[in-house]
Amino acid sequence: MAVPLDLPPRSLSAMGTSKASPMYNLRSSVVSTGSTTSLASLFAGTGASLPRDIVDDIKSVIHHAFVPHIAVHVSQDVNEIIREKGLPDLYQLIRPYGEKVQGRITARDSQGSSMPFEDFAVRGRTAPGAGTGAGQWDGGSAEAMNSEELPLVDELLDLHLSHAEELIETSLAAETEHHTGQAFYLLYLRKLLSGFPVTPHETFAHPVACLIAISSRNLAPIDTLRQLYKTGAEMDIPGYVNKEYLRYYVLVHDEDNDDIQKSTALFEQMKRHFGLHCHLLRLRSSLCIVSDEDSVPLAKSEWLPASEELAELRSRQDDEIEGESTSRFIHGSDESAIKTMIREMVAQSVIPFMERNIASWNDQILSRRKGLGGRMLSFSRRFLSSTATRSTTNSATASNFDLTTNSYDPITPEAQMRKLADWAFMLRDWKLAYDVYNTIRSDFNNDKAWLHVAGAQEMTIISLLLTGQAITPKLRADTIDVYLDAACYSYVTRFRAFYAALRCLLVTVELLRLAGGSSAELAAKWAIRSLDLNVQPTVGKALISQRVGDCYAVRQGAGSGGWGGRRRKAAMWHILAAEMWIRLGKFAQARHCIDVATPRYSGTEFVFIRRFLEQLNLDSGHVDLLDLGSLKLSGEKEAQNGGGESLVDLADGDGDVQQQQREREKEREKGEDGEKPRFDRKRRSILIPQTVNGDAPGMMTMTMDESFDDRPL
Amino acid sequence: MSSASRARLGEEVWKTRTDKINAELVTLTYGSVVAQLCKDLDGDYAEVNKQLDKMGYNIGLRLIEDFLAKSNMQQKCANFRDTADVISKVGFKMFLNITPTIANWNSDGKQFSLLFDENPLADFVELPDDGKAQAELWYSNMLCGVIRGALEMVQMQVDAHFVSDLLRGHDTTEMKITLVRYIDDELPQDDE
Amino acid sequence: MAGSSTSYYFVIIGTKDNPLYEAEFGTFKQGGDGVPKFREEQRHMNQFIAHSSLDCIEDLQWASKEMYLKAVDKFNNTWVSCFLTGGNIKLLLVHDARSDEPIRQFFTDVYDMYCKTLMNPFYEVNMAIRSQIFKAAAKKYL
Repeated sequence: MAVPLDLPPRSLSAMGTSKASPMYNLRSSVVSTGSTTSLASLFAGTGASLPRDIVDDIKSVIHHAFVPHIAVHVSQDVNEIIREKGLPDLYQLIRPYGEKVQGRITARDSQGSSMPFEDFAVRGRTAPGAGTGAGQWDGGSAEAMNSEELPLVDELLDLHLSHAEELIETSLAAETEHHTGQAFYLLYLRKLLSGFPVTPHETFAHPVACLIAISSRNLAPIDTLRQLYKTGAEMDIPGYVNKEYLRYYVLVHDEDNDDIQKSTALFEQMKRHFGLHCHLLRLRSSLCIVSDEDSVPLAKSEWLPASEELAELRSRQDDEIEGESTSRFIHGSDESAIKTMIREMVAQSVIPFMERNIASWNDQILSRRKGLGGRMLSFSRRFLSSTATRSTTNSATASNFDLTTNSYDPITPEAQMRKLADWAFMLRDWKLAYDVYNTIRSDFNNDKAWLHVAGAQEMTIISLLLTGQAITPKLRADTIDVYLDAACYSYVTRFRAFYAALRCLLVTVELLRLAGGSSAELAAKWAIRSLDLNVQPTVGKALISQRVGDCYAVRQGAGSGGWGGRRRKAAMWHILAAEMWIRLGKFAQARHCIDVATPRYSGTEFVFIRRFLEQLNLDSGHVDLLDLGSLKLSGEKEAQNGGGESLVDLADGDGDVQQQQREREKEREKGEDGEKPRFDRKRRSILIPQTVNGDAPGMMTMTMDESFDDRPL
Repeated sequence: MSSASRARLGEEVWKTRTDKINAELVTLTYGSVVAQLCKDLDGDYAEVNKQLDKMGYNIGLRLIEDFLAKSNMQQKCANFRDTADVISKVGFKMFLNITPTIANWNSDGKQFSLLFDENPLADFVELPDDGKAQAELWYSNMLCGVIRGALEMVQMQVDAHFVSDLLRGHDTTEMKITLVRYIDDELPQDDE
Repeated sequence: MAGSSTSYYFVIIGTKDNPLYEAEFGTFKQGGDGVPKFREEQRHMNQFIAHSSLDCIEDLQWASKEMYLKAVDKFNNTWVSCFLTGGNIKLLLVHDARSDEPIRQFFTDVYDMYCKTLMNPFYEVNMAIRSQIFKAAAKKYL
């Protein structure tokens, strides 16, 4: 898949100096879509300490992580047309547009009241067995959740960060604040949530619908559609995936070559055969170039799994070396046609289909359970299953759980209830989802289906937090802590499903953080726990460490003294993160962390803390004259007081530091030779390269207060 | 009066005729006086010593009456050795509940030392770490003034000063007291 | 914490988050020689951990009537035990194994000595303490 390269031209020269630099547009990858959902009110009271747009960003990431998946299954002739347009296949073309369905989408919740979504999304995925995405379908075991995505996410973030470092180094410092704040963490989270593996214990990655497409070039259109239906159903999908998903039939009309009247007639025929879930998509088959009148850049997918994005970046890098432009454009008419198709599909087919199913499962299964005994009475599931499902299981055991595949058959009540809960969740009916997750947890527990139990525990907490219910200390201690602990234990110890554990923790952490107050502290606690998982390599660890600091920082405390706050903890975690960033060579990130934490330690009399901070400042190239000045002053004071017996040995301090500073400056000298002086807004200082005669130090700094006009630039 | 009976007398007065006060309060009060002087006089420890001595002198002038009333001593001291014994066994016992050792008499019997094994005034004290106090400040110098003032009221002009102090890291705390002269039928000087 | 096991970092923290007294020592139990075995990077971490635990202590101090708050915070495998004096001076011990009772005895002794330090007319609240007296208490209990 191709993405236009729209880096500002002045950064290109800098790119050239570093061979490893990935060529892509950082901005579009990092900026998350703002969203205003009807659920904004949920967080209104609780997240007051966080700026609105940040709350929206985080919510948006979480909402968009759990969206209906739609498989794309097309005939060869469709992809031929797409390839003529310069794109690999239909899936790649429409996927980005599914991530933001145009306009407002309305769904009804279980109470019958309608909920409008401004930012509804669906996730496209390739049909089973159809080429590139095939790997995604043969999960099925718990190992799938220990996916190779984790190291890839790390690697990808590493590239993004390196790129951002270069932007900053090449004086595009205006964006520093944006890049070093939480943007990268959100990106990390999004990438982590982009590639849900297909597993038996949850249905988020199971298709809700399948888009089946043929083109106007097809000679036996109806037969091909039937064929596609058949192959789609016969594909090697794990047995636990329900194949009763919606089929949506699309006829791709080639505007440039084919007769619209013929296509319209064919379309009418399709509707007669396959019902209302049909769409006529009119696309042009010709290649679109930037100079064309109605050209628009192809939208980029923000939810590419890390593996795909990495592959894409690498191939783009190769292309760059060959000097080939990789920018992709499509006709504006195509774009609006695709948007319309997606909107119609979602609004008129997918959502009603989901609503219908939710209602019917709710009636059949849940209300029957409730009618018999109610959740509070906690009837044995065995009793229920013996009446409800004996005929279907046909098995000697009373349980529907299949131990060999670690799954339930999709027609069992357990599997259907999980699906009901997941679908309710995808339609953001948190209350219903919470009730159902809460109910099935005990069923799974009775069957000792531990993976399913963990999944239900995870989603119970997440949906509970999303309902916006006030989080009482009792709720924290009895529900959130207990379930999180149990879910993590199951994921990690029983199944070694580190990905699942990490997802579970990080999503919960974000929601708790939004709740603020002492929930934010709980968020920090669980974020620290996720570090203990010890699965994510360094970049992820640094990001999460920084996030721990952010979580603590949310808890502000009362009064002028910030009593009861977690300022010191926040500062410590930011410093720890800064240390990791330096080790990773991500100095801008490190400087950001140092900036956030330093005020807490200014003038501290803890000798090792002060020395450590001085070292961090040096290592990260952090230059803040005010800070250094105050540190130096207190250092002198220390020396004066040092006459008596001091337990902590201070003797070896200053010499080392200065020596290292000199060495660093020497390195800098080499690296920056010939560069122009530059003003770094972030550091409020000017970096001046070596002077012509060469005897000046490689780097001089001065504050804005001084007049730098006098200096020999 | 024998040395042993003086010891008994001191014990008895301490037990029956003395109102007690919390030792820490005394220690802290005295410590605050010294610390405040050091601060006010800006670390001029010679001047601090002088001021402490002066305060002690003024206390001594008054304290002698209380001492005589409570100890009810009928007998005049026969010689300076007796005086030393009374100071140690009755005086210090009664007011500070300590009995400093008498030592280092010189040949003419006019000079002796009081060795303080314990010194309630100096409990908990560590001299300031400024490199000067250790050499210049006599922390308990008020005691010198007290003895000087008290003896003057009973017709003895003495010179009293510390020559060593545990607080300075010496092995002992030693105060040297020298009889200058007996004051015959003279009125005491005015309060300084 | 391998290599630095059974080493202690003890700090008295004043009312302005300022350390008054710091000591590192190893265990004297099981034939220990009392020499701290902290790796270099642990030494600043000890200070960070102690400093950051003040957040928790500020919460706990109103919830408990006791001066000895036991283990108040944990960072990885490192515990922080706290004894809070009436004057809001915190005695903190950073250690790697929970053992409330010996630490309580240690703190009680140290507190006693701290009170004496405070009686020194030349010592002022929040002033750094240069005396070595607290090591004796460590030898007795830790």
